[in-house]
Amino acid sequence: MYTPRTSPLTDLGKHQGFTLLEMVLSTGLAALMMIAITASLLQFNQHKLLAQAVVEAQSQDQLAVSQILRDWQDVCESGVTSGTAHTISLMRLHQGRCVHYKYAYSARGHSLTRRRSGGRNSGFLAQVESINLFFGVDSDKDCLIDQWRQSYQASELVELHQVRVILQLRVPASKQLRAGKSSQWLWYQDDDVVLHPVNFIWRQTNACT
Amino acid sequence: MPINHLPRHNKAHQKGLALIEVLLSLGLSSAMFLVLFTAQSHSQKVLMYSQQLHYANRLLDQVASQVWAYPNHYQSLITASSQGDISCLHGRYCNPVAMTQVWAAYWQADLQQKLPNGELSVLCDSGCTPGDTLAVRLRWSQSLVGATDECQQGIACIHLELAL
Repeated sequence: MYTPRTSPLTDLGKHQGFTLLEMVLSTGLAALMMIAITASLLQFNQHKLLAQAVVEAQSQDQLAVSQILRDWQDVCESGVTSGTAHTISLMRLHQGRCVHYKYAYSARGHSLTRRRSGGRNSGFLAQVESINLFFGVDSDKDCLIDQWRQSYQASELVELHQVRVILQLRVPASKQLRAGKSSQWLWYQDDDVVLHPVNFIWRQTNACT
Repeated sequence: MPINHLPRHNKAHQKGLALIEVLLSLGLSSAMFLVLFTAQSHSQKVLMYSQQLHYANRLLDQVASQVWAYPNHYQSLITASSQGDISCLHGRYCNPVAMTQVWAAYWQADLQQKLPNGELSVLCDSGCTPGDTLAVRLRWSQSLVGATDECQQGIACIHLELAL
C-alpha cells in the first residue's frame, strides 16, 4: 500500500480519535441499549417460563380430573363403600362384574394409587402432593346434602350424594420463576415444583332414585 | 490520481456518523423494543385470560353440581350472604338453606380473588319448574373480549344451561 511520506502530520492529528464527550455519549448510549436488550430478554424468558408452567398446570389439572371422573363413572349400584380424607373404596365394574377398588394417597411416591380386590397397588395418578376428600351425605332422608364429612361408611342411616375432591398437583417449573412476581404460585420447599390446587365434585348419579 | 491529491474536505465529511443516522438507528431500535414489549404484554394478557376461563369452567361445574343437589333452592345458591357458615362445608350438619348460603359465600369469596368484577347469576326461563331451562351465567371484566350478542365489549361471559 502506498503511504505518502510528505502528508502533513499536524492536519491529520486534528481529525483522529474521539473526544471525551463522544466517548461518554457513545458509552452511555451503548449501556442504555444493552440494559434495554438484557431487560427485554430476561422478561421474555420469564414470560416463556410462566407460560410453560401455566399450560402444564392446566393440562395436568384437566388430565387428573378426567382420569378420576372416568374411572368412577363405572361405579356399581352399591357405589362408594367407605372413605376417609385420603382414601376411598368403591365397587365398580370390571369385565362385566362389580369389583371392590380402593384408591389411596401414597406420600412416598407422591401419587394416587389404585388397588383392585385381590390385586396389587398400582399408580393411578402421578405428581400428587396431597388429596382431601369430603363426602356429601344426606343424613335425614330428605334427598338433600346436609353434611360434608371427611369420613364415610355406607349404612342405612346416611346416603352419599357427592364427593368433593381437593387435590394439590405438583407442577414442574423453573426456579427462575421464584424471582418473578408470580406470587400466586405456592412453591414446594426447594424442589423445582409448584403446587397447583384442583377442586372438583363427583356426583353419585343413582342417589335418591 | 495520487491519494495525497484528494480534496481534504471530502475526507473529513466521510468520518463518523451523522446525527440523523444516530437518531434514525435509535428510533428504529426503540420501535423494535416497543413492538416486542407490546407483543409480550398482549401474550401475558392472553395467558391470564386462559387462566380465568379455566377457573370459570371449574366454577360453573361446581355450581351445576350444587344446582342438582338442591332443587328448589336455586336462588339462594347465588345470593351471597354474611350468614354463610364455612363449617357447613367441613363436617357440620346444616339445613339446605344454610348449605346453599355457604356455597354462595364460598364462591363469591373465590370469585373476588380470581375474576375481576366477577358476577354469578342463575336464571330460569319461567318459575324454575321441571321442564324449564336453568342458565348459570358468569361474567367478569376482561379487556381482550370483544362485544357479543350477550355481552358488551370488555366483559367476558360464559354460561351453562341445564334442563330441569
